[in-house]
Amino acid sequence: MTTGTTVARSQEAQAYLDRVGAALADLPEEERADLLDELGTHVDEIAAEGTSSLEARLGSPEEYAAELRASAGLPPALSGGGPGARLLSRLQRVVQRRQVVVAREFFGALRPAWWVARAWVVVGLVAMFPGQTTPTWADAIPFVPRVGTPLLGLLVLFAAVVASVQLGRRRLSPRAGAAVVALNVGAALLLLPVLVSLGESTNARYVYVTSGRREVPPQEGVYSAGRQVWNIYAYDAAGRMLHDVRLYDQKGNPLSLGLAFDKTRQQTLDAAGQRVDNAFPYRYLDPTTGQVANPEAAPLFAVPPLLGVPAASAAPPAATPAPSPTHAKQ
Amino acid sequence: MDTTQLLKGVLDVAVLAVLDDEDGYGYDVVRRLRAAGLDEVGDASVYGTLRRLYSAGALTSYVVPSDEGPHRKYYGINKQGKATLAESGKTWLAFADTMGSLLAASTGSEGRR
Repeated sequence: MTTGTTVARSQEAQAYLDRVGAALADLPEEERADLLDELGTHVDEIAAEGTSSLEARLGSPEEYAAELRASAGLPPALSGGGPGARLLSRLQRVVQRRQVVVAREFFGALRPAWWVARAWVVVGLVAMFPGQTTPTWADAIPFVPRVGTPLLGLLVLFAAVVASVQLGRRRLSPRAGAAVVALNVGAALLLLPVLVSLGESTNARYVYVTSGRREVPPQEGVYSAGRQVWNIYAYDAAGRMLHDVRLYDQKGNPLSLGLAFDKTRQQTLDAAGQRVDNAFPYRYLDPTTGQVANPEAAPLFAVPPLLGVPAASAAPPAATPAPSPTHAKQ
Repeated sequence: MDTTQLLKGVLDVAVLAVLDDEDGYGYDVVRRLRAAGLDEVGDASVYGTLRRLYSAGALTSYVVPSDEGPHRKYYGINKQGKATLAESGKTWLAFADTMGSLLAASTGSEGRR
């Protein structure tokens, strides 16, 4: 930069500068460097005159720094000047920054809200006592812990809020102030547990009912009136049970009841030798004989013939248009 | 009475008056103040005052490279500085006048009247 490049600085001058720099350590780095830069030129010049020692001529570096601060309108250094004091001074400067001041004012405005909140936390602790059998939060009055009865809880809460606000408004001695800080920290730490306790008791006492359609995931098989269909019996127009009726859905897929493969069920094969699972009704084998014991087995009911259909068993199917399977939807 | 106490109040005016004559760097201003009779002016006070006046907008500043020594930061008075000097100078002269007549009345009654 501008110093020490053309003239070698004497040890004495450097030591003096270092001590002044140390005494200005709490200033912002830019300002400090600027001051030291100008001071360096000055000290070099005086040292070059060489009439007496720098200290005799300028006073101690600390005095020099103090005088510089005072005349430049800079804040005085905190007493001590050790690393701790410097840190404190730096911290103080941070706290005085504009954004920090704005933030402090903002949170300062929220203090009354905190006074109410901490009172609530303290009373809410009652609701967190282990071994409580009755509900600990009043049902009728939200956010009010039950202290014996809900009404008493409300009164206690009100009293606690009043006390807390009064405490917040008072100017306190340093000792009492420290106690209040401890109370605040405790309340802040317990805020979350109390909220959780409130949340849990609320969940326990209310059941959420959802209404409207519910999506049911697709299931295997055929259902009728909500019950699974295990077998299908088909009857013709005359009311006679049909055998080996092959059923298909609207897209031509074989109708599947979604039943697992069953060894005791009679297997039906098509001409190509493929197993056919959509030929109804299913027939089951008698375990002792390995044969279908009763091929005509059906639910116990009679199917009346349809109107207009000749009851005679010899009726030609082509003459009766209504029950023809080709009329069914594809 | 300690002159340093008095200097505190008038150092701004003194520095401005010196720079009104001619631009100067820190140590130069110190020397000129001393040459003018303000023996007890402190180096650090002058540097601090220059800095404060510059921050307040009463001075301009520029760096002059030098062959034999380090570059020097020169200060010069600007329009605002001149206005401040005129104002403060008037105040000071009026004050000095008042003090003069006050002291003349009490200590030198037999000398002058």
